[in-house]
Amino acid sequence: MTITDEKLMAYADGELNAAEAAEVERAMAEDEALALRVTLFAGSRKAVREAAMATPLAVPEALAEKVRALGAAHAAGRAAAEKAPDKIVDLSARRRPAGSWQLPLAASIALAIGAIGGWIVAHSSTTPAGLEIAALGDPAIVEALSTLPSGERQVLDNGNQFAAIASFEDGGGRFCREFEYDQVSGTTLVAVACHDQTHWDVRFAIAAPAATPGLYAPASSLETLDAYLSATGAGAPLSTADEAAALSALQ
Amino acid sequence: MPDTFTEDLVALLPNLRRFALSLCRRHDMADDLVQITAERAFAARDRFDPATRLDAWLFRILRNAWIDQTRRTKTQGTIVDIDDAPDAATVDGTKIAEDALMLGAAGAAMADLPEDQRAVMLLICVEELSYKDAAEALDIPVGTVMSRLARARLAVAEKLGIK
Repeated sequence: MTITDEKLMAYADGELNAAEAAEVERAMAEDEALALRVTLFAGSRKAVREAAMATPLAVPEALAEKVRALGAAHAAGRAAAEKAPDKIVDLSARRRPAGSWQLPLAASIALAIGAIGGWIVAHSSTTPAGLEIAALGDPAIVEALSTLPSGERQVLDNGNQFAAIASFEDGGGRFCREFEYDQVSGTTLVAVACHDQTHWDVRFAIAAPAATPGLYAPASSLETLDAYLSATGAGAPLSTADEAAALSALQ
Repeated sequence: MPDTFTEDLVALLPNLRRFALSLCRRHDMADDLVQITAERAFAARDRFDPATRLDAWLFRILRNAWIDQTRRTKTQGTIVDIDDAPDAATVDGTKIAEDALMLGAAGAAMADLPEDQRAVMLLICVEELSYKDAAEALDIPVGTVMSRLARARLAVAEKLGIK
């Protein structure tokens, strides 16, 4: 019976079970050459291990810092996800028709929430219409928000198009609607408005260059929207029936 | 339960970097590899089984990141099996100055090993992974680990005059 180098090495490395080890030991007792071979495997391991331990292992502080920052960012994301585990929305299901927004990513988003200065302004609830954001001040939008079922698109008198995307409840239980407003000027607004007792509040709006007329907004703006929805604890899109009930309750 | 994943990962950075150095033998590339590994690890941490060794799992991610990188740098776009790929040190035809992975004669002997042998040697003899863990980290059968390791061990023993 021959004992392979691999087996002798595995013996030296403590990788054999008791029966295999006993077999190697019996063979070594009979053949001194085998015992020497084991020494060779054990010695090479020891030499390499010692050389490694003797070599200082430095990690650039900048690298360690980057990794800590990555860890903190991920931890924050996980904490947010755990806070509202049932509020995670499958946003891909929100879009319809499927495929319509498989467009080249628009490189830029013209305006993003938090960076738009006075564009989203503190609204005044004294105005019945409630929508004061420049382009969204059209009463026809308020009308569409209150009546148009999600998935439908309506051309307004000024030629701009209103598309109702989805309805959902935000973390505070308000009835909210995600919609897009395609302007003849070529800019699409992706927005979320929530109904607050008497009026619609625009909670989020982002302007993106329209990708193709008649199609939904480019994906890059949707990523921003998704982040907003997650952050505000938006619930899953309402079913058609629930939405219809919520809309009729507004009337 | 306190979340120690980030701390555990940071504590293993030196080992990851050593493994990265053994693969690519350049500090700048090694640092990039380690960072990519960390990014992927955070993204995939839910797939880590806490009953297994974190370092083995990270070594596997790093090794896969290294394969991705070597593939990406192939201008012809052909995928070369890692075992057939030339050592990174000579990949562009010029010998790149080697960073010291390990000091001394054993370090020199390690540096002379083919990349595939050096990887098993490092994971098993330095990082003290089991054959099984090393096989999983490198995505090769245990038998392949053993044959590469035996060749590497004999070569190093010979260079060092171990008898």
